[in-house]
Amino acid sequence: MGVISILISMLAIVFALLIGAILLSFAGINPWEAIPYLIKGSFGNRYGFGETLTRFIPLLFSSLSFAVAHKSGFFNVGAEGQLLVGAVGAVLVGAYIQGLPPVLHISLAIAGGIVFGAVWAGIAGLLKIFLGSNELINTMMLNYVAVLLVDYLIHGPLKPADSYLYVSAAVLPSAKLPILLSKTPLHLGFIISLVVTAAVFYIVYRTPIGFQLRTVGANLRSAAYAGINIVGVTTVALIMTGGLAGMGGAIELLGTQFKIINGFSAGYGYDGIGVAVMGRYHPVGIVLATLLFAVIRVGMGAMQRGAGVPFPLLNVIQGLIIVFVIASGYLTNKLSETVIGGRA
Amino acid sequence: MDTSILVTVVTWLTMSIRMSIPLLFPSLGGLISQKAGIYNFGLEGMMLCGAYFAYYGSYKTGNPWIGLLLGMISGGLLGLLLAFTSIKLRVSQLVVGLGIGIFGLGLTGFLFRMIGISTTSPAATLFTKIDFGALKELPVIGEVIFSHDWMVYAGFGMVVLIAWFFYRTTSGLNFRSVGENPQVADTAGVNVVLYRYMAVVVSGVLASLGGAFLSLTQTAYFTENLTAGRGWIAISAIILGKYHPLGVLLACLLFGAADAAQMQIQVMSLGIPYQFLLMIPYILAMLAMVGVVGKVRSPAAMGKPYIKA
Repeated sequence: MGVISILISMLAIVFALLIGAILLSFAGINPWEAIPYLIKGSFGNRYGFGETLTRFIPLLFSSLSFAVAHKSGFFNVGAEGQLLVGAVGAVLVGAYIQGLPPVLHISLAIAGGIVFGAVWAGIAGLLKIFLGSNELINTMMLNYVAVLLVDYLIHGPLKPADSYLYVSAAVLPSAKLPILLSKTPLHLGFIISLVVTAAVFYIVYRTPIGFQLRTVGANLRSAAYAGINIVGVTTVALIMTGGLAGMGGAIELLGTQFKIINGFSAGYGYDGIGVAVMGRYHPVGIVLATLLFAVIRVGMGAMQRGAGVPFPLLNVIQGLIIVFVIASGYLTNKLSETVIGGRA
Repeated sequence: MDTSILVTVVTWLTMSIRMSIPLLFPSLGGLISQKAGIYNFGLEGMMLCGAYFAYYGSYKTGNPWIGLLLGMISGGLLGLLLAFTSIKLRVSQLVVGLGIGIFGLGLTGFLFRMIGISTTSPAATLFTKIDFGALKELPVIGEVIFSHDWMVYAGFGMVVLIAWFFYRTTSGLNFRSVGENPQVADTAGVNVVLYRYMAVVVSGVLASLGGAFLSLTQTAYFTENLTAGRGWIAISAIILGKYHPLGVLLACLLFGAADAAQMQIQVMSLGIPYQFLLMIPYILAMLAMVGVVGKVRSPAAMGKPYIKA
């Protein structure tokens, strides 16, 4: 089943890229001239390679956020907002608390991001737990609110008095994540993101709380019947999903951007949905899918600079990947039934 | 003093009606789809495509009707995609809907940037307003009721039409039974699959009309993410409207009124940061669902694929 499903996923991606190429030629750009920029820009040289792995980090966090929520039956499409609000939490600690040693300062700033992200997800979570309100709409609405809230903050409260740009204060040197690979933007957050991924999947698949979480996600009624504390388990899931997105925002801030500007998140939260779907919510799948999305994202930037390809093509391809990969689940099941005689 | 308050109120009422329309079309679309048992979470993407292709057609040909037709086709095609994946392939309607949303955002942004580069003034031809003659001169209602584009009246007409269809025709009854209990409907000889396909395609067309309303009667331009989440607010309006066309109309009028109010307060420059005013529609969409939780029942088979026994 594994091989078939991977092959079919690859086919879905190829189709999505093919449609992207067709769109390009409709727009009067020769895909064969644009594609070399994608390859060269994303892993053709040292800097591009470093940039791809840097983009990898927030993508991985937001897809983990979506995957964990999905496992527990909570449809969190609010990673974009939680990531932004998480960055606010991190900037409050990273820019305004002085005189801390780096390790402590970084840890506290990341914790700030986790708390803020979890609280933001918690709004939609509480509305769902206690009032049964639709979390998909609520997390989506909170994305729009978060963008506006952050826009307000960088126009006023968080804007340094001497700045003529609309930005937040920059984090202090003691809160900046160290660079991993010299002459590239790649920072320590890369290692952190991989460790966190392993930890998250350990919790979800190897601990009692993870088991309860998956049971709630698979069948709420039987989970309640089995005596699982639904409110408690859902709260844990909320803290994890919001905390992960918030942590992604914090690490993006402390490692890459250092201050919050308009467009800080650039759609990482929405990309995470596609990554999780493509990786089929499996740890290895998610890491590989994140890598692919990071390559596409960085390569798309290079294609825009080099060949004038409009950047929104990124969303076209990602939207198609989501639809094709999810639709290919049908094909996978059909094939498994006929070839192997069992369901995937 | 009194006249200026009156002017403000009249403007507010007029704007409320106008701003409810880009929500009303996708809400009605979502309602039809949900009544037949399929979640349409792709409304936002369908609206964006409707807005873009309507704009493009009108700008290219100078005829807004051709733009409208193009927009409707784009919405219908996305509806067909959602219908095929959720009815035939039976995959997650939520995820496909999200995919359509991201795809629509990307496609319209991509195409807009492609044409935006080569032209100087890409304004679309707008629909001409209906001339009500003497009616327009009536005090208050002249402006509130008789000053709109034809699409506003078409939206209200659609509410009546859909209510009549659902609750006064046999086909409407069949339609609702498909969303409530497809097994029973099937046994009674109703073509479940056909009804569901039609519902989702019509849903896409209606959503695209909401987007087309924005670009063909309001802005004359397309901007990236023009719809600004209205496709999601529309789903909240369906729930607040308790899955009834008239309820949905009232919910959309409420959201439209809030949108109009925040626009007017912005113009008054009362010192409230504009970001907080812009948040109002989104927060209202969240509060709206809280207010009706437990009091509404969605169609029983909603979101469940139908497998013919």
